[in-house]
Amino acid sequence: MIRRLPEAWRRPLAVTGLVVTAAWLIVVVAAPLLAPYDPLAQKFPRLRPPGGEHWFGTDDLGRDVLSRVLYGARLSIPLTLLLVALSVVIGGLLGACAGYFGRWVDETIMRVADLVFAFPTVILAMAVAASLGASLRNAVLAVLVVSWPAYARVTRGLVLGLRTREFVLSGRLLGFSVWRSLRTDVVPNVAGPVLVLATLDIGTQLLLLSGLSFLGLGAKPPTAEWGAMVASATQVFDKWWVGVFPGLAILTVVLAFNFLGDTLRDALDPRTARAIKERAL
Amino acid sequence: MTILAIEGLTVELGGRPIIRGVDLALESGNVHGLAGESGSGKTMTGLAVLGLLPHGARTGGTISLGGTDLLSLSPKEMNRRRGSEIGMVFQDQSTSLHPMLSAGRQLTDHMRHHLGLDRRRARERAVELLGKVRIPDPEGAFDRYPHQFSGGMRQRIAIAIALACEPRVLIADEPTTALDVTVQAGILRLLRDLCDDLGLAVLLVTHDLGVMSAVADVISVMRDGRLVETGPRARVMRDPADPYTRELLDALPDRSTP
Amino acid sequence: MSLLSVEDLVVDHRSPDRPPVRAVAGVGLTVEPGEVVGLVGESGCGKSTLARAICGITAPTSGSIDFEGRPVGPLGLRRRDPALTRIQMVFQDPFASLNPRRRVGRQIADGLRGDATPGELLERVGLDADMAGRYPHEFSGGQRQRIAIARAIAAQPSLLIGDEPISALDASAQAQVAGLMRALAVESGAGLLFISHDLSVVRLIADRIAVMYLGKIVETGPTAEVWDDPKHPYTRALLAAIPEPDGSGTLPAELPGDVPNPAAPPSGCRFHPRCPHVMDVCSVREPVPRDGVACWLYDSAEPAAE
Repeated sequence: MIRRLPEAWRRPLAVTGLVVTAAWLIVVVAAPLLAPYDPLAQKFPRLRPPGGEHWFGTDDLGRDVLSRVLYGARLSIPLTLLLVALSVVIGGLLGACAGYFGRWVDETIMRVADLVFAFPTVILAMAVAASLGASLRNAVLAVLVVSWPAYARVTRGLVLGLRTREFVLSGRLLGFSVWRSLRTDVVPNVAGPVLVLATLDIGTQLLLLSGLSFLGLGAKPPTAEWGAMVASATQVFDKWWVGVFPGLAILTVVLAFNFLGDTLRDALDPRTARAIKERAL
Repeated sequence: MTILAIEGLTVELGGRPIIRGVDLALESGNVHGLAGESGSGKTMTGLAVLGLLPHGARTGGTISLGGTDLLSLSPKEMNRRRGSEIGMVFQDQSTSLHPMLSAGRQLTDHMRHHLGLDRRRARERAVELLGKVRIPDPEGAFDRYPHQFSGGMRQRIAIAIALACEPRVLIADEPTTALDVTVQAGILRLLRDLCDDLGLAVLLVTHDLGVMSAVADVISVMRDGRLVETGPRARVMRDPADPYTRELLDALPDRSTP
Repeated sequence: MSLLSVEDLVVDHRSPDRPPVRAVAGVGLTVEPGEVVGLVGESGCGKSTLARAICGITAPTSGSIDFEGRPVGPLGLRRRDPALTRIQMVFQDPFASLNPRRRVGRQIADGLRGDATPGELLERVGLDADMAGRYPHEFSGGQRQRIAIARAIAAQPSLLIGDEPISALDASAQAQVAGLMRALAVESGAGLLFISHDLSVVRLIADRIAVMYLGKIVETGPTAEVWDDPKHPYTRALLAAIPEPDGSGTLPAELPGDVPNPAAPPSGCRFHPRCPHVMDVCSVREPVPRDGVACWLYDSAEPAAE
């Protein structure tokens, strides 16, 4: 697997994804050093277009848009990563149990997952967030509720295929308990595809989380959150810079993680890797 | 009469030579067996004739069918000939048939596409073909779907499709490897009869020397992309000229009754 | 006492909204210590299901499986009773029989008994000891199958089962791997149940052959006897269908018809619709095995029609 990595990672989209992701991660860590002003300070002239003093302009309350975008990264990116990690753990665990044990365990878990799948994701997330009360924490919970079933389903499918694989059976015959079998034979072979799904999912979940904030169901003003910033920009539609820059921030993060996910998938899937190689020749 | 002549065929894949110069002449009414172990290049030779080599493969030499060099044809032109002048049968009948289309539909689509027959004529001919490959109740089989047939019957349908446009050459790559011996026996008899009756030139690619001995007229043995030996069946099987052929024969469990 | 004794075993495959398929329909089989039994039959005859039931992967519907005098139960959530880890199996697909993410040495060490090292076990199956640090993808199919054998024999099994262990290998590797399994089993005094659809290979290594058709064993006997003088019409058909690599161009004999659906097996003898010697009684009553053959042709006692 390691030997296949370089070819897939050398493609332009992969490099773009890596560079943009790395840049955003630096912003997450160093936002206070990079931001020229306090993101919450309302001390500047309102709705100033981008210029020398305010590169991204100022918003309707006289705050520096650049600083708010940079601080927004501190909120959105780590939160989304945490969200995806939780979805993977919850969905993966439930899916693995459903696939390995089958029967009523499988029935129960997958029917609940189907229930979630039966509703449009955004609407269900909105309903959950609204019923829990509008706050960033509840928005995260709402996204979690709609995102775990995808992992459960994928993991279940993979485990179902693995459970009857011959090396898993022969491990059991050699005296592995169910837990040891899951740990040594099943999980390591499921991890790759789930990781790919998770990376591709980071963008979707960031979008969903920002979307909830955009609708007023997540972060509350004056928090610097990208979705909420785009929402407030709708009040001053002719001042494009207020909404475009946080929007671009969302766009670049989503794209970068999608590129990473695609690359990871190609790198882990030997068939695609071969195709890349042949195209290169 | 030589129908298909392969001369000095080389195939390179990713800079690695897969076939390093193969010469074969396929005669009408003859089954030409191509033997060898996995990785010897025997399957690639078949795919080269069909113009189905993997993307990025580089070829050399000529494959001439009726005066045209198949290797110099455009993909579009090759598509037209494959299926009409050259038929093909592969090992895995479960993937070579479309699962959602009835046996008859797959047969007639093919004929209407390549021969331009109308619906009624195509149906008549399809039923006739199903009978020719000895499918019981060809009229009824016409409307059935692949999963309703056994593995052996599916392979017969695949052969019927391959023969639909009266090709002159049939490439059969391990056509019986996935089948049980009793079913294999039926398919081998069918191949032999079709070859004799229709004057087909058959290239039979297989690793099974027993199968080879049963139906092939001429046997070529391949190793590492080269032919080590070509000759009449009885001579190659009983008195091989090349030490590698001898090695292959010696590795076989002695099947005859002591 | 036999090493393995299977009596009247029935295994049904159940699936929702379909009638259960009786894959194994009353099979009796024994394997003695140091004996190599070859179980042959065509795909779908239930031979793999039988093997899986014997080692506990598939739960039987009825009947008994006794190994060294103790009943074999299906695999549960807990780890297997150590006494039952003396049954080991080598599977068909060499590309699925090893975990792709673990070094082969560690996999061989999984069930290791005694003081042999993984390296020594690799040497016993004809590979180099220093290959223990490699991953499965670095090996060919034949080598992987040898590693799977090393993994199985590391547990010092007294019964080794091979479920079509050679059918995915190159012709030249087939006889070698089959011979290796026989040698390892016989030298350690273990029994070997070798399942294959290829009679010509089974013939090389088995002391006794059992022929299975549609969930039943139709003939069993010493290898040479079955090969030279097959009694059951199905065994004869099976032998006649093997193409001989003698260069004579003889087409093997065809067995007409298809294997019937095991969910709705024919009445009486299960082979009667395809049998060239079918008699009236065959479709009415099921023959009882006599001297290892379950066929009315060899039943001297005149069958009383019902």
